[in-house]
Amino acid sequence: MSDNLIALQNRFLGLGTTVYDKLAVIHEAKGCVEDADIQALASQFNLPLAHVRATAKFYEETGHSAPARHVVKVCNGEACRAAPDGGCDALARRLSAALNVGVSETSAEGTRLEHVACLGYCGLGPNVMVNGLPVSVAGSDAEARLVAHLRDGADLGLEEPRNAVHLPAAGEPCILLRHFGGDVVALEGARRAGIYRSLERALKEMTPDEVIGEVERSGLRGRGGAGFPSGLKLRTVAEAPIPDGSGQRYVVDNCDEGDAGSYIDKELVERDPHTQLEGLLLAAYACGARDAYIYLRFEYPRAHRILARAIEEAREAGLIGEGILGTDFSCQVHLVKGQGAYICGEETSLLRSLEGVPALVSFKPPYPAMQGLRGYPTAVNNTETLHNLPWIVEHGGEAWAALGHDRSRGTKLVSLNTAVARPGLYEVELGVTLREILFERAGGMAEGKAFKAVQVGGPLGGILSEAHLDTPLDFEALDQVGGILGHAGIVVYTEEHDLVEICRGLMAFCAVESCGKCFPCRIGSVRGTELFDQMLDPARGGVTDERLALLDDLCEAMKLGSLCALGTMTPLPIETMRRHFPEELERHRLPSAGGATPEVRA
Amino acid sequence: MITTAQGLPVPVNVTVNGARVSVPRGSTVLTALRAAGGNVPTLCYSDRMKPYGACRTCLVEVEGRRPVASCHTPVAEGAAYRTHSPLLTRLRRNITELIVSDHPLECLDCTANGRCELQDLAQEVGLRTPRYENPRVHTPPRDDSHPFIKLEMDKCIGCALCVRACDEVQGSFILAMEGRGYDTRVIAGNDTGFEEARCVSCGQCVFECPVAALEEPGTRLFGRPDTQVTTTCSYCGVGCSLNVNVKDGQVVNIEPNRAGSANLGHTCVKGRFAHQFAHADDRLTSPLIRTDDGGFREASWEETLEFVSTRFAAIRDRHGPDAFASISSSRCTNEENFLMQKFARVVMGTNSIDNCSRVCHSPSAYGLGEALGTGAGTNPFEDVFHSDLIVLVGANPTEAHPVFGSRIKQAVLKGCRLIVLDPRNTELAYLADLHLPLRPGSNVAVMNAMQHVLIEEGFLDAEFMARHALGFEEVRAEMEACTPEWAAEISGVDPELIRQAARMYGRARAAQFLWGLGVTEAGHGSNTVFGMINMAIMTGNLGRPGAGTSPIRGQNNVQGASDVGALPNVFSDYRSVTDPAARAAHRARWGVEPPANVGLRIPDMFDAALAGTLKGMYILAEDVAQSDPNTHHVTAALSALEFLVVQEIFMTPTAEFAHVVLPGTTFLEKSGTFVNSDRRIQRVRRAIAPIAGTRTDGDIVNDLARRMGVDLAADDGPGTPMNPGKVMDEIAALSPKWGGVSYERLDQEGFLQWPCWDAAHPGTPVVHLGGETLRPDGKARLTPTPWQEPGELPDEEYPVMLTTGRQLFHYNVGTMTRRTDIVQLDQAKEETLRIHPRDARRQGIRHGDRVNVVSRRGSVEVRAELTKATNPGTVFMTFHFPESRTNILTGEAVDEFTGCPEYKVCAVRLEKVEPAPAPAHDPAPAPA
Repeated sequence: MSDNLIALQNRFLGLGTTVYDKLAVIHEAKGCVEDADIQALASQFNLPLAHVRATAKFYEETGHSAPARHVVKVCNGEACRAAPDGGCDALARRLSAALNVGVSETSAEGTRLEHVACLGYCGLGPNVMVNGLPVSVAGSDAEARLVAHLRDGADLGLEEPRNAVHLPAAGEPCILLRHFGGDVVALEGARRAGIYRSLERALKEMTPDEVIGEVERSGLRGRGGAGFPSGLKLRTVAEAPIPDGSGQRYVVDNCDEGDAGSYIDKELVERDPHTQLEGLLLAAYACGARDAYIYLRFEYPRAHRILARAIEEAREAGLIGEGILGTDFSCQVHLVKGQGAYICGEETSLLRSLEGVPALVSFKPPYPAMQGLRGYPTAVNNTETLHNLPWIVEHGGEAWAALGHDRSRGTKLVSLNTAVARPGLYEVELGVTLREILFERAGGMAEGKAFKAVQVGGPLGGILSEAHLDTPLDFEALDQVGGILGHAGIVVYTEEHDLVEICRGLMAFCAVESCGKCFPCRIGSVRGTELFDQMLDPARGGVTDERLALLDDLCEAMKLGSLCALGTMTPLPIETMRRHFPEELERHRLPSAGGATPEVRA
Repeated sequence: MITTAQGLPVPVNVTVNGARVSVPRGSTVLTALRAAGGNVPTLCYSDRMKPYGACRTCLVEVEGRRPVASCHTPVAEGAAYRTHSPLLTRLRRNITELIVSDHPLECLDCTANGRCELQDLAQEVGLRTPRYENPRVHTPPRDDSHPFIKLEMDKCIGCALCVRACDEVQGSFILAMEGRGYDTRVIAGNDTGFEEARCVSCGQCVFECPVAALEEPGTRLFGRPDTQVTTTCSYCGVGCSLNVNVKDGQVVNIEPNRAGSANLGHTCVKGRFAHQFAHADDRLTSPLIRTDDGGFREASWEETLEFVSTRFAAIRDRHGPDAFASISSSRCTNEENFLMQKFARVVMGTNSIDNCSRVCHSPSAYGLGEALGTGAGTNPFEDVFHSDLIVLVGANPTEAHPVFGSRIKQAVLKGCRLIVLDPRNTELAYLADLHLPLRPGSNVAVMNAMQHVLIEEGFLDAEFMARHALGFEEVRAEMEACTPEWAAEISGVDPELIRQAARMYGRARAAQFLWGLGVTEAGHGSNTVFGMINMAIMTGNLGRPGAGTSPIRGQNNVQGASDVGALPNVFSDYRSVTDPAARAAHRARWGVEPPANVGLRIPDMFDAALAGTLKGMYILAEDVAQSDPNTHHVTAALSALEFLVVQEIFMTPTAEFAHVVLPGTTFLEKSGTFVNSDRRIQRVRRAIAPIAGTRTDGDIVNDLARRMGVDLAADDGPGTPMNPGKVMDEIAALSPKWGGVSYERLDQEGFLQWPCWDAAHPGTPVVHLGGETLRPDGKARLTPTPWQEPGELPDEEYPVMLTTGRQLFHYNVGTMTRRTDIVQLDQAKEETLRIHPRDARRQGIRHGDRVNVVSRRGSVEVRAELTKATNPGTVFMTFHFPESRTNILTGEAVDEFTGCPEYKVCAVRLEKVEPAPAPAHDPAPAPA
């Protein structure tokens, strides 16, 4: 991170305004950022040209340097890759042929075809985003309509789909989804439903320390994946020393839900935006932040519209801004749109993005809670984490802590892909087994599909087999079997899937999304992808002992050497695939090759 | 850093490979393991910059944990670190294998062979050929177009050290890592190349590159150097410590010395790359004697020195000692300057010796000396990091003192506030919190108005003044009428801006005034200096780290030349030639009675030559015909002399007037010391032997003295070369504030900042500590500064104000820089008249038009450059180019106290030259 570049932006753009913001405005207007725009922006504000350019080029969206008539983004997250009819890979090939354009290219007619991961309709895949609108092209005539629209200008006639949400049965705990049945998107309905009462109570009857105390008592741990105790994080931020005496602290809502297969935060924001804002304001009050940021990815356009409207309404109603609810607590909420970089879900990368410098990962310590945004203490919290706070304040930490299992308290939202009979979003009490989720709540496998493996927690999650289905959904228990809870997007693979292909895709995803800073991840993910390509290609010799040994060395170097979780955890699904599904790789060994295991040859 | 109640760092105890070591809390593991004598490889780490954590080769094992990167991991109490183990070797080898998989395997052809950190690492971990089959590699084309920065980016390993150097050290932000993941790459500007990106060519990126992705030409041309010599730069007054790499008596390249106290491992384009002048084809390599037909003939040293000594003696004996004067050189060493003044005083018997500080910072030395008792800046460079406000007046350090300019920039970006008073929109003016774009010549008015506001609004440190100050009441009375509105009329600066500046200064916790020649060469320079000192005294911004008043000196040793007595009124250490004690000390040491009357200053010398009272001059390495104002006046004076000796490295315009030219040497060929801008005495060490036919300047002076029958006590006996260490011992003996300076200490400690009273004294980074000044009474004196108009004002005939200064890529009159590869840079090719587009439009001048600039004294023709760096009503030129001798234009008005000329204030008119088919400009150096 460059403190100097932050200082230059503060000086020439005004405190807190960044090159990133300016680039986003340009991109919003024309769908790309041309070289001349970069030049003009730099000279207008006396900013370093190379910095403006590097910031633009870090992201998928602002990185585009030429406009296109149509932009088609095929989701290639794990759920879409595991979707029916060959999933997104087959879809991309068909679209490429129909539109006469390669992936990452723009056709003569001006149609740009590219990949995106993920659009958050993992229960409906495969999906594409066409000119900013996410649509499902599963079944029916959606794909034909899409092609006709792009080729002949026919009416698209497709709408943004909606994910299925399965409310808990009566008597089951329902915390996060408790307002999903109601009409709470507009502020009026939200207030009728009691949203913002916890905020009012906290501001008028509780000290910030008492709010933190309730969160500590609840045992809430971060829902973004790392599982760090949320109360401790808030306390750390609240008590962190600020050498310049400004008292500046920040809260950041990490809604950059990039894990393919997850659409948890998306649904929370789209269906219950005010509880989300209430949670965010509670966190800000607890740690003394006057500014709160919501970092929301561009792949969720509906969530963006809804949240922007909700913020506007809340501001007009005096729930955001100066003197909230007549108290002396003031907090501004800033909604920032991600421009397409998975790595920005990593908290230090996200902070760099907010600072307007290329979003390279930073080492920790210093932790963001001590030195975060622009060097000030910052509580970066996942969206689902924040969504729990109003309930905790309303009912007390102890009531919340009564739910859950072992050191994993409370409930958790999980999202399922199309391999199960009833894909969609579920709220489950932590401690429930994978088997219960997949085979009871979600109705078992979809018709005609046979279970092969399950990956919990996104592209960095371990690949688990049937033998692990009785593992409780719990941070530590999953860890013990080589998995992770992560953000709890769940992707089920069926007998149709080659797990080596899946792992190749995960390595390739790491290569695309690596920030490029640390050497093991930057180079290793590309070498790893090439290695998988060689192992998957009989013409290039397939799997050999030498290649497996090299893969082991590579995985170890990435796991122990990389700077952040993307690099250190990309090897996890590969290692667990090798451990739990040894036959998957052996299938790609050439029959003639020496050194193959005798069992396979026999 | 976390400290104890006593302010001491809290120690953390750890073990490294079993050895116990204690380091301050907050230190990195790398610091600890280096302190314990251990080491690990690093590729992305530089001790000049913040840790980055990218290469991951510095991993160490910690008991009970996964390996951690030592470069950024803080030490933990009681932790046991291991730097080597089978696991670590495997990890390092496997990471190295990844790096090498995208790196050309051509070590034997590579210029970095033998000094490549990646090569070392591969050897250490035993990596041979990477196992990866057919990896996709990056093969960007190599690019040799830049004269100093050769690009072989296929070798780039992505460590970003170059980008970080450009950011954290140089502060130019030319470079960035573009893109993401595997295809991340270094770009310059909008991916247009270094020059178009306005790269300042400081070479820091090249210096930090651990491989040879960024490479400089020297090692390509000469191969691996055989010797490295640490010396001090001979360009500006920053005093960068340099490592000169030499092979077979040729300079291969010059690199910053990481241990250099003034530059901290940084240099600018000139110090780093502009050194080829030493080996230039047109170096003077033989003494020259004027022939009857007006030409020169080569002569032997023996003949020439006999001739010179005879003529000097004749002038002295026939016309008296004061018919002789000499100009010493701020480019030469302290020892040589000391010998020059001793030659004048002892051999010739005159105090008529001066140096070029006369035409630059004499008002600074005078003002500081009068008010505070010592003619030098109060605070060291590093104090910009201890100030919360810097007031920069009439200085453009990012071009003229680039390494210090970068330091100021870094301080400002870290939160120090900045006020710039300058007629031009310099780089730092853009960055400033407040910019006061005052008219040239109006400094004193603005200073007075600022004092008015400080007094009126009560920003006074009464306690400091009560204890330490004299003369406040007189100043209060003087400032009473000097309202910001009054100053606005004179200076053109919004009165509100003046008020804000004064308040910002008044409220600062530790504020520094830093100034350049825009103060001293811009009309009544001494009064401007007094004004700044007054404000520092009034607000107690004196005698503390970060609080003070310091000029940024222009030349490598302009401070030292004055310190050692190359001035007409003082001996070394500014001891007056009329002070009985000083006279007695010199009489005792030198064995002769020093001349009693104060000698001539440089402008007086020219007047005396024209008047016929000055007959002979000895000018050491000073191109007065080009660098002094009102060139026509100077050349007339030189022509009028009976006998002129010029000692030079090239045939300069001044040398053209000489009767004898003596070929001296560059700093690379001699040993001695320089004093930089913040009183730092540093060693100069011979890197190459004097070019055949030349002699060091000290040897020449010493030889002349011996021929004239005087032993200057500068050598080890007749016929031996000057012994600079012995000369330093004499300087120390005669100069109380240098009493503790010796070569032994300098070589051991790297530098000493005077005052350094005795062998036990550590030197003085901040003078007047606590407010007790070095004046005899220990007081700080406030000085009333009545407003006077500058000597030169615009009128109908000459309506535009010309101000002059330096640009980054050249140095003074270009004698050195123009004989280097620096002239290949687009920005260094020719002089231009910088003019605001609005003024240009009004006069029908377009970018690139040729313009005649006419002053009351002469005219020069240059190309117009339209730029908003200059404000309407003011135009700017440098004085680097002999083709367009800017000083033909500048005036004869001088500071009333010191005789310093007003280079910065010159009324001119502009006449567009009707387009004639102009020949392409020839960038080659001017022929000798």
